[in-house]
Amino acid sequence: MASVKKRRKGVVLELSPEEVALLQTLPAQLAPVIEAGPPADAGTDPVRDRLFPRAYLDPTEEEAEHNWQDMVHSDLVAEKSAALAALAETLERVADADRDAKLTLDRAETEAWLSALNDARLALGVTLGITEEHDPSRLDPSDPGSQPFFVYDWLTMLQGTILEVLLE
Amino acid sequence: MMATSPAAPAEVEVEELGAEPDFEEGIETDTPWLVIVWNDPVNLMSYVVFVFQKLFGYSRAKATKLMLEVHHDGKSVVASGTREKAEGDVGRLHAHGLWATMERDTP
Repeated sequence: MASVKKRRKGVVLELSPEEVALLQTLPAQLAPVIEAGPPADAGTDPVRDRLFPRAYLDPTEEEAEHNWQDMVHSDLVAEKSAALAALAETLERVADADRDAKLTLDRAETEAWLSALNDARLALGVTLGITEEHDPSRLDPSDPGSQPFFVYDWLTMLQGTILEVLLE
Repeated sequence: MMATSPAAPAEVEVEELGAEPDFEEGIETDTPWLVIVWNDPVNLMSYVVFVFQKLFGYSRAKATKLMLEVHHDGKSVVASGTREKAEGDVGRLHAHGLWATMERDTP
């Protein structure tokens, strides 16, 4: 289980090689969704609809919505991609460890991790159909189908612990 | 939202992210636009507080109050202003993964 501590130099994570390996899969999984261009056909890809929602619910504001998408979409992609890149780059520091390794994140890196972990959880949340009723304690470890739910719950725990430490 | 841990004060950093206002659309009426954040089952309560403080410079208390409105009422008005400002705010909230929309304030 990852441990997270706050030190003067930043947030210090202690991660096992398996945890590092899991986190390293996130950028490659998310990048295609994030970089796939503006969501022209809302409703065709629920993950992209969640990562890039509409600004206007009012259907009479369709033109404003279109202009807004034109204006902000590339910025949103750049920001989400930068967070994923920061996740990948910081993980490189502990990529070769064969035992639990400490990784120190400065403030900007910590915020990038929070964004990247959040996007990963949003994407997984849609794919897995996570609802308010989701209860990690009810998962059956012997059921292979619950594996992605354990990944989701672990990412939730990691993000929550980083926030707890950051905000203390 | 999912509850994990109680949120504590964040160091507030106001950043200008997202889009520049677009003044070419002409003069809007003075009717303010409301920026609304909707409840969702994934975002952590502590993360929502963190984002409100980071983006809007709100105190811990105000950010927590707004987060609890989202959690209990399903949505909360977290900011308001001109159309351009609201569009920028919605973009910055989306950049952080919050589900935000905007609508004209009804008198």
